[in-house]
Formats: sequence, C-alpha cells, structure tokens
Amino acid sequence: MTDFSVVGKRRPRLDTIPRALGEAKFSADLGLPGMVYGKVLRSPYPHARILNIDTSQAERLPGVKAIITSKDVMPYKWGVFAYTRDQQLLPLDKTRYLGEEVAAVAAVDEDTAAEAAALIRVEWEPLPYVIDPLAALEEGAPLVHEDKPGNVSVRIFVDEGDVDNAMADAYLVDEGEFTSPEENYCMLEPYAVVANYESTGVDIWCPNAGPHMKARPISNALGIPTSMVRVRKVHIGGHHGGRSEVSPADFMAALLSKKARRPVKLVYTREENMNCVRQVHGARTWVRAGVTKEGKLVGLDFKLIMDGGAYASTGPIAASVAYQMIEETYAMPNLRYEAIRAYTNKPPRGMYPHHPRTTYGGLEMVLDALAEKLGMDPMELRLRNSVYEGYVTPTKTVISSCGQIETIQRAAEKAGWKEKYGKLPPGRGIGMSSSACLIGFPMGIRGGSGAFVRFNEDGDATVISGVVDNGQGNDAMIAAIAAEELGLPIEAIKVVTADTSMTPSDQGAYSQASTILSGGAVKAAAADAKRQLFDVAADLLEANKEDLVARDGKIFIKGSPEKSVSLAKAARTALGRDKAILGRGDRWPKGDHKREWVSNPRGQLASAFSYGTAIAEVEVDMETGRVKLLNMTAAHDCGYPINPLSVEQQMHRSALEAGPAGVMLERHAWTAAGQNINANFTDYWFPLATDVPNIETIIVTTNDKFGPFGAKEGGLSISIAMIGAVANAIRNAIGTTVHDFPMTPDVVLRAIEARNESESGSTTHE
Amino acid sequence: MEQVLIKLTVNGREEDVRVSPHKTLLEVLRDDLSLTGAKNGCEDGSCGTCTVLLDGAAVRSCLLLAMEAQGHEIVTIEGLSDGQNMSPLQEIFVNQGAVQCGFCSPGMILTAKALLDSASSPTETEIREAISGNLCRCTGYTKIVEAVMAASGQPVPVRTHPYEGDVSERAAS
Amino acid sequence: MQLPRFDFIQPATIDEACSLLDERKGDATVLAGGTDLLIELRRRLRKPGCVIGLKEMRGLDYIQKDDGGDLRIGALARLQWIESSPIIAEEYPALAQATRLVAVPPIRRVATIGGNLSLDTRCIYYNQSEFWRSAQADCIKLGGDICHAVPKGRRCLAVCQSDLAPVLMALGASVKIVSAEAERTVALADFFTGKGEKPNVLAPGELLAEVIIPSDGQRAAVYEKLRIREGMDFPLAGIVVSLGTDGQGAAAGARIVLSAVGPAPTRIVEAEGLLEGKRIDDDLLEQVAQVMFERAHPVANLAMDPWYRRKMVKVLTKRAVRQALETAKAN
Repeated sequence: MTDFSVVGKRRPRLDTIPRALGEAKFSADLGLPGMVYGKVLRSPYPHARILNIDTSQAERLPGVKAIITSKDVMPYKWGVFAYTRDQQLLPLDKTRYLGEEVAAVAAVDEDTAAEAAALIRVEWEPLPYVIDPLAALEEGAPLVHEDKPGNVSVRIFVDEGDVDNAMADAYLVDEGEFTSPEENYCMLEPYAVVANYESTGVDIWCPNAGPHMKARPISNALGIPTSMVRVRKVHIGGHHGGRSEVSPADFMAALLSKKARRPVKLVYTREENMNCVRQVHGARTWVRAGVTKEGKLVGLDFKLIMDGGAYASTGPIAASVAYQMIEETYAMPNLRYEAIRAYTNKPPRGMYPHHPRTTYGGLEMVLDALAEKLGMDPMELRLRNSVYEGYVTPTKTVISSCGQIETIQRAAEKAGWKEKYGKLPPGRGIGMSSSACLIGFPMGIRGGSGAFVRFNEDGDATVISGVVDNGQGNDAMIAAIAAEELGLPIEAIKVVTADTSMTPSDQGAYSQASTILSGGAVKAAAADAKRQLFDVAADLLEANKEDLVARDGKIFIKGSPEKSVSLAKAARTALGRDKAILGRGDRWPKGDHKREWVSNPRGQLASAFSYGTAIAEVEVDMETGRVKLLNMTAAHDCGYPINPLSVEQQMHRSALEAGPAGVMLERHAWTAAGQNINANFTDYWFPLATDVPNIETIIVTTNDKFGPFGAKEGGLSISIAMIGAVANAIRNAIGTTVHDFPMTPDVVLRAIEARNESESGSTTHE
Repeated sequence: MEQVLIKLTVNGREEDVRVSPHKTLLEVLRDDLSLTGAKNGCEDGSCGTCTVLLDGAAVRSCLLLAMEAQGHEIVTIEGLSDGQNMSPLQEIFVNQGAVQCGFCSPGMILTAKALLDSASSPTETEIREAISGNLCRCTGYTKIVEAVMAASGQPVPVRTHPYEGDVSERAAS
Repeated sequence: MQLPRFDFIQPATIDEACSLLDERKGDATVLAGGTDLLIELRRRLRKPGCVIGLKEMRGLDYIQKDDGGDLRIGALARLQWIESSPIIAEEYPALAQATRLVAVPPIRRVATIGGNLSLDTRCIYYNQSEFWRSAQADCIKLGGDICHAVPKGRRCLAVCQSDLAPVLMALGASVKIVSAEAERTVALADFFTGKGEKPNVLAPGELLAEVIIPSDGQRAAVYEKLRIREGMDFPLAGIVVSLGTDGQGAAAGARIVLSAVGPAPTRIVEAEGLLEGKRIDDDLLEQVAQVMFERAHPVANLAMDPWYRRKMVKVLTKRAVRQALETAKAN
C-alpha cells in the first residue's frame, strides 16, 4: 500500500508558489476594462420595515452608473433546503439585522460609490427586535419571520435508546450548562466579487467553497438559466466554513453589472466581512452524561439552543453535526439530543469546524469530571469508550476505518500524558479530548463530484474538477492523486478547477469531502484515462493491457520496467490513431439517501470518519485568570496522507482556530441595540503569533477502503478535539469547570473565585 | 485637493504617479502601479497584509499616505523575485509549508525579510514577536516560525512519518 | 474604506508647521506616525480640511540629554527608537518596557511618542465606523448629549489608552507645546484634562513638540499593563509604580499612576502616601491596592468587563509595587 511515487510523499505545494511570489490574484486584485465599483447601503436598524427608498439624489451624482434596490429584485427566496428558503438576496419588505443589504451602487470609483450610497434616502419603520436567542423563543417575542412562529428556525430531535432509564441506572451522572457568544471566521481576505453581465450570461469571480452551490441560487435570483451563470474562483484567502453558500454580494454585483452594463467590482470592508458574510452560531448547551462503575458511557443527553441570526442558512446541518460527531466518537447505546435554532435580529450564521464549542467542549469537561469522580485517568475513559470499525451508532451509522485509539495513544506518548496528568504543579494543567469528523454526507443531486482527465500531446495531463481550493491545498491534492494514478510526475499535471461553465459539479469544500469525493472522482477519471492509454501501450509493448503499470512517466509490464513506453508517446500514438485520451470519473458519498437532517435523522450518514486526539498544556495565573497556552499536540487519523505536509498544515490550522481562538479568545459582543462592538481586528481577539505555542502533529494512518489511496480528510477532527483539550487543560489547572466560552481571563477568574467560595463556604461578594 | 504628481521608488524603479493626497501607499501600489501583492485586509492597521518594506523596515502601507512615501525605497513582494524564480526566502516559505491560502504571505514574507536583514539568527521568541503584527488563520504560525528559522540557517524540527520513506528525499529548505 | 479628501502639506520646519497650524486653525490636524489618525480619518471621526504631515520634518526627532541632566525626547521620536535607546534603557527602563508593550513592532516603527501621548480617548461606542455610529444617536464625544456606555451619563468617560502617558507621568515628565505665537511647558499631569471628549490641553494651532523627563536617580519604575493578547491590544487597565528606597529597604518618594480606566492617567497620592517610609509587607500592599481599587471606576466602554478591569487594578498594583521595590533595592 505504501509503494507510491507521489502520494504519501512530503513535498511543497506547487499552488503556493504564486502566493509566495505575490502574483496570485485574489478577487479584489482583478480588473476588467470599463470596470466600475460597488458599494452597499445597509440597514442601520436590527429590524425595520422599508417604507420607501429614494435614489433620485444618488442617481444624479456624476459618476454613478447603476443603483439597485428591492425594486430591481424578483420575489425569490433562497435557502439551502426547500424548507429553509427564507432569504431574499436583497430584501423587499424589511431588514432583519443591523447591516443587512438595502441597496447598492456602482460608480466610477469607490469614493463616488460611497458618496452615492450615502445619498440614498430610506424611509424606515423601526420594528421591535430581539437579539438574545432565549428571549427570541419566549412567547410574544418580535417575529423575525412572520411565517416562523416562535422564532424557531430549526428543531432537531433525536431520541435513541432509553436515556432516562440509562441515567437512572448509571453508576455516576454528571451534567453542565455551557454558553458561548458568536465567533467569527476571520478569513484574512475580505469578501470581494467581480461580476460581468453580458447578454450571453454573467461571469462571477468570488471567494467560495463551492461554485456550483452558488451558481444555482444566483441564476434563480436573476431569473436566468444556471448555464448562463459562470462562477469561478481565483485565489481564495480562506473559507473556514463561512463561504459555503451564496452571498448577497454575488447577486448584487451581478445585478449591478447588468444594470450598469459594465463589469462591477464589489469589495467588502473588514466590518462587512465580519457582519454580513457569515458568523458562527452562539450557543447554550446543557449536557448530561452517565457512566458505569467501569467508566463505560451509558448515555448522553443534550439540550441546545443556537443563536441562528436572521436566516436559516445551513441551519439544519449546523444544528445536527455536533451529536453526529459525538456519536461517531464515543460508543454509547442511548442518545438524546434536542437542538433549537432560534431566529434573532443578528447577522446570519453558518458552519464552523468546532461549533458549537459549548457542545463539544461542554461534553469533554463533563467527561473529565466523571473520570475524576471515578478515580480514572481521563485518557483511560476515552480509550474505554472509543468507537471502532464496524460499530453502529445510535442513529444507525456504521463506522468504517477508525484510528481513534491509536491517536489517543500516540498523542499521549508525544505529550508525556502519563508523566504529567495529575502530577503538574498548581496552576498548571493538561487536558485531552478526542473527536471523530464525518466526511461527505448525502446532499441529494449535488452531493457528488465529477472529474475529467485530458491528455495533451506533450504527454502532460489536465485535470478538470469542480473542487475548490480555498487555500487548504485542494488543487495540489487532486494533482497528486492524478499524478499517482497516471504514473506521471506531479509537475506534469495541470489542474482546472471550480468553474461552473467548465468543471463538473462538485459537492463543495465543506463536509470535509474534497479528498474523498473530489479526489476520488479524479482518481477514477485518471484510471479511465490510463485504461485508454494502456489500450495503445499494450500494442506498442506487445503486452496484455491487464499486465501494464504506469509510473514515473512510463508504461511498462509490471515487474519489467526496463522495457517501457512513455505516457507521452502513448498519448501521441493515440492521437495519431484518431483517438483523444479523455478520462471521466465521479464519486458519490456512501450515505443513506433517505436520511434527512430534520425529518429522518437515521441511517448511514457519511462515507468515512476521520479521528483525532488533541492534548494541550496550560499555565493559569490564578490571580488574573490569564491562561498561557504552553503547547498543543495533535494526532490525526487522516486515512492516508496524500501529502503529509498538507495534513500537518491543516492540523495546525485546526489547532489555532480551536485552541487559542476557540477556547481562549474569540467572541463577538453586542450592544443592547443589536450592534456588534468588535467587527474589526483591533477589538476582536484574533490570536497573534505570540499567543500561539508550537503545535506538534502526529499523523495516524488507517487506509480507508473508500478513500482514494486510503485517504479520508486532513485535520478537521483536530478542530473539534482541541476545544475539549484546551478546555480540560484549564479545568485541570484551576480545579473547576469553566462554563462560558471563550475562557478569557475574566471568565476564568470568576470560575476560580466561585470555586474558592464554594470551598470556603463563604458567599461574600466584592 | 488637486491631484499631485509624485515620484515613488518601488522595487528599484522610479515611478511617476498622479495621486490625490488622501490616497494611501497601499491604494497607489494596488490601483496605480498594479502591484496587488500587498493586500487590504482590515483598514485599521491590525492585520499586516499590506506590509511593504520602507527603507528596509516592514511597515503597513495602509497607514502611510502615498505622498509620505516619496524619497524612500519601497519594496513590495513583487520586488523580492524576478517573477519567475522565487527568492531563497520565498522558496523556504513554500518548502516548509508556511504558505496556505496566501493572503497573509506577502506581508509575512516581507516582515520576515526585514527581521532576517537585521538579525542573523533570531530566536523563536524574537520571530514570534516580529510577526505578531501579521495575522494568519491557516498555519497556526508554526510553519512560518520554522521557515524563518530555516531561512537563518537554524535547525528546524524534522517531521517524518513511518510511511514517508527516506528522509533525505524530503524537499526541505 | 477610503480616507476622506483633504489637503496635505508637509512642512520642513517647526516654524512652518506652526504657521500652517495657525493659518488653518480648527481645520488642520497633524499627522505624525499616523497609526491612529489615519484610522480615525477612515472612520470619519475627524474631518480635517488640511492634514499637516510631519514625517519628513526635522527638528523634533531626537532623544538627548540636556545640560541639566534632563532627557529631552522630540515629539516625533519613533517608539522603536525609544525601546532601543541606550540612554533610556540605562536610566528609564520602565519607559522602554512600556514602549515594547505598545501595539506590535511595525506600528512602533512609525508611531511617535507625541502621537502616543496625544492619543485620543477611546470607547467602544465611539471608535467605530461611520456606518456603525449612524445606527445610534451622537454621544457626548461626538457632540451629542448622551452616553451609550453609561446610561444617563452626563460626562464622557472615554478612556486614555496611552501606554506611555502613565509611565511618563510617574517619571515626572512634562511636555513642551509650541504654536505660532508662543511656547509653553506643561507638567504631564496638567496636560490631561480628565475629559473624555477633550482629553488634553492642546489648543487649535498648538503642537506637542517635546517630552522632558527629569533625571530619575536611583528610583525604579514598573508598568503593569492589562491586556488580553500578547501584543496589539490597548491597555484595559494600567498601573505604574515608581519609587526609591531609603537605604534600609523602605519605600521613598513613591509615585503611583492609575491609567486606562478613565479619561486621563491619574496619580493616586493617597496610595503613594501609604508607602512613604514604610517597609512593605502584605498588609501594606493590600491597603495600597485597596486604595487603587477604590479610585478606579472603569465603566462598560471597552471590550472587557469593568468588574474585571477594576479587580485587576488591585492585582497589578501589588505586582508593580513589589517589583519596583525589588528593582529599587537592587539599584
């Protein structure tokens, strides 16, 4: 299995060279002849009816080329699912959060566009608003959507086995309630779109996590066939879950271009990117866990309220994934999970690797509390409860390859767990957590990926795939897979990706499916192309095509590399025989198509599962509550690494986003008036290089049968595991559970004081 | 508030540009000189993606008016290479895996260059301090720190995994 | 976000700068490092018709001792020079230490001491984009009559978040202010007005020209800064303790400054008095810290719970006193 020439080898990512050179073009770097610049007018109210919009003054400003308002828009509502269509890409009747789009201007330069936007007069009727999800669910709360009673966006309810009985019979039960405000995706690249509308269709360049997922709603909103919408990516400065879906910016830029009859560039400010693209759900999780005397989990019970903001977005998925990841991590027969996603008058929310941190982190802290009461090493508790290959989860998903136990053991060994746990000096703590990550779930007719492989006359191959590279290395990943399958050096592979007019449909770079589905499709397409080459090569080598192999640019009979024909020659020979080498392939998730997030949460969920264990060590200043993160260790079962360097990169990314960012620093805060006080990088506590320790990585392999060359996904399990690891390390250091994320010094200090008070029995407050 | 003609020395070339006084160096580099390697990431000087070298020091071009940059040597990321071949530092960033989405990379690389030009073998603490004004969401900073260590000839952790085979064939720095 | 349009003039000399400031009195603002001003301009917190660029101006870019042994720092001295100045490292290490805690290195490379001292007061309801502010009524600092941070508040309590101000105040520094007509020297304590909406005494037409720090003798000073990240952040509270010892280990001539909890850094004389001539033990430390705690009244105008900021005043005071005493003894 390891006799590969490209796959599994550590090598620099070729896609990063243009980025290091500074020549890589991101959306905001693009320009087209005659291009004009867009600016968006936004709602200054968290909830208000639009009574009238007067653009006359703005239109008269010299340099203004187009203005769009709800008058230019069809009554089309977008949603990820048929039952979640609730967002007008430019709202007709009312705005539902402070910052929502109201109108947009295109003008000869940004200064003029901004000036014009300021000249648009909107007559508003401010409406009562609600920004707290608990208040939103109360009777009589203002309705964010008139047709959504009680402001319930989504309710997920899973009840498998008999949780109440299990808890009653359990040797020990523990519980906790955990809270978290919103986090931000913090993609370094602010959102930007260039759109060029012509009679034959519209070209759109923008950051995205799946161009095919954008083209459809954009075409619907514009009232044109999807084939007339060409969404492309250029270089993308991060996605992190927040660019999965269509953005009003895509639609507005397209419509402005149509009206202005010129290309339009719309670049968001950092504040717009933080408020008006996507945020991460705030949440409140109550979790209860029961164990036997031996530390076996008998049941888990969750109640969760998520702050969904103004629109449904990916709500059903977002409200579900946590229980799924958890039941794929810990074996237990009884699971109850209720999640209510509430509408509030806040920006829309999307998917994020470790959200809700309250659920993942909360459970892990409860498990450590149970281990403590049992007198058991938390590592032992995790080993005893780990799922395994062939295990069937309460909601009837069968686990395939599973390296969880190995990740626990190897992370523990690397981090010195046995030497440190329970033996650290006061104020120091160490914590551990494990997690599964589901890979590729059923998404109906858009759930799979297709690919083509084309041989060029010089023997190089072009791979055409709908996969999108947001910076994580998907282009390099498919190039490596094609190179390995075709027997070509990686330099001989050219990739064309993420272009809705050119590339086959792809599920998008979320659900961690890029390697397994997009990579799998590329592997199949390459195999198809190789078969066609072998037809020719068999002739040239006077051999049976079944006996041929391709490696290092040559085709030869297996075991006899001395007599060979180059792939280039085979390709040219084919062309000479009036035959073009064109391979095709596709790959679909191995899920149960009847499984549905809300209506039928049962059946095979995903094609494969990655596993990860994270360990973190902290030092807490007991007087200030300030936490210093000393180190992070991560072990990840990626199946098999297409490029170990890339897997490490993704583990590093996950560790940063979960540990320093997710547990210790990041949050949005709101004024009573619904204003986000820190929608900028000065006041939003994005971890700096000085806040992050060295991150150790360990790659564990399990050679998944479904994944291409055994690969699953690179690093996301660590996003989830690191939440619990750092939270538990803090818990271990201060001797009490912290219930609120992020664990900023004030929060940690309150927890320390509460512990001190309960220990001394005193109830005095300063 | 008339436009004025200014002379900027960018990547060793004299450029005549007509600018409005309120234009920042970043805007002029990107919009007038088509040097889009410097990025606009935050508007408030907090992200470092707009970093350029001004007389050899890493500074934020979004916090500098173009007119203020007259008479100084400006180097942008485009100036580090001939456009075909990466400079040794850029190559090390790529080889060490210190570049992912790449939005921070131009600023990060220039900041590293300024550091390495002034300190021959900076410690990990010094490197982290030097790049603390450059945000990165993809790398966890680990491989960036290692790239700067490697660029100054210092040992970096060798990571291998059992299946990786011969270590010597690794494309290290 | 674009900068607003303005005239931009770069004077060559101080005189030229002063006469420009005089000519366009009320309409001009000076641009030194620009690390704060340009952000305020982008946010339309200021709308000057004329920006006077000082980066190329000579004459205020020095760090030197005068004949009387005082240290004189030109207002345009960059923070980076201060943190790496041998004289400052030798005689005023707390100033170098505090400077290293400002923002991040690339900011310190261009930011100036004058800019840091005249940093406008900050508030989460004020330091926001024009769009953000358009969603609420103008506060006192914006010329309105309400305060969003303190319901029914009648005064602006925006915070002075300069890191250098409290240290320089504890060092007994004064500043020289020049204008086309006159020149005056003001003790730093009198430079700050205590008013959030107008934090210092600089009048239209005036330019902060120089910082003068008297010789500090064998005293030791320590700055304790409350921040969340290891860099970038403005202080959420700050304590400076400067003191000497009488030779027997008792504190002498203590100066204690409380900062970043209100519109101006403030010397807390009562706390200083508690230390005078005393050997410092835990009880005394607790008393001093308690006084500081009582004098600190942070409100909910920064991105951190005022309860915590106030609490930390106490902790940081103890740490600063302890460390200053140790250093003074070692001197």
